[in-house]
Amino acid sequence: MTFVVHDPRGTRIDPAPSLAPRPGSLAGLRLGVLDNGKEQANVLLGRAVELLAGDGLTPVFARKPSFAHVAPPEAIEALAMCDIVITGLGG
Amino acid sequence: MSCCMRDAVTLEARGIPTIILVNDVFAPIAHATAALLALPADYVSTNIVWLPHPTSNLTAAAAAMLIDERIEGVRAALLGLAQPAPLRVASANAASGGGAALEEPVHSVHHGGSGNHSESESDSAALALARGIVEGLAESLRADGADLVLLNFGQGILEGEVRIGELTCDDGSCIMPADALAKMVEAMVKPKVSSLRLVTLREIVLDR
Repeated sequence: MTFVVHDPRGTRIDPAPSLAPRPGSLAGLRLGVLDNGKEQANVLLGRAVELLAGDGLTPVFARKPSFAHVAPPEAIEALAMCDIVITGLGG
Repeated sequence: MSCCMRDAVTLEARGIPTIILVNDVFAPIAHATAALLALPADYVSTNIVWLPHPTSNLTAAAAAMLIDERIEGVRAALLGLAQPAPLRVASANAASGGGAALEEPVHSVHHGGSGNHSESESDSAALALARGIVEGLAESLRADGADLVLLNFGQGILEGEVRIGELTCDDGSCIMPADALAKMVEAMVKPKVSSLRLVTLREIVLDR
């Protein structure tokens, strides 16, 4: 019998993660908005959405239960339908 | 902060370009996290839109104005058109007087019979260099009511403390656990101190 032992330490991603290709235009895209719940994050992100609406973006909102943890799978899935995402607030 | 970047990496892996709003005092943590996650060198400068810290005490109007002033930067980042900016660690090096030293990696060197003396000098230089490298990170922690103090470097082991004071968050969640910070410190220091083998940080809760 073969056992696979996973190292529980660390979260370094190796090899380097690849970034998604950027769109050529914002027009008509679905904009995911991931609010991490920090104070003012909703205000700051909300204002960005207001301004970007003029570019023809349609917002899809998701909120994290805690900024101290990564987004839960349901939040990631909610944003998976989007073309681009803005998140915050880091700090 | 680092959770935002991890979320962004998760979304990027799903094929979704993701940008982040971040308070500028946390730039050292952003760079450290980028190094830890092996992100491209220009990731931070092209995918993060910086806001002046603090933002928590702003009126809604003032907060909105911050975005108004940066909306072109937001658009550029979303389109991948943001221009890379210089690595933002200058203040950290200046604060420690270690700016010039950053240009030269430090190696622990053994020189035969006088090895102990040389090693000690080299270790001291490595400790000073490491302190300069992480000063920006420590500055970010101080903004949340904690501190990072490097105490010793020897035999490839960098030792320090995460000192927890009056935190700005109620539940302590604004400060990363010491083991996660140790990994960040290692990712930041290792490229400049080749003899570094391990970073150990002890969490100390200060009397309040």
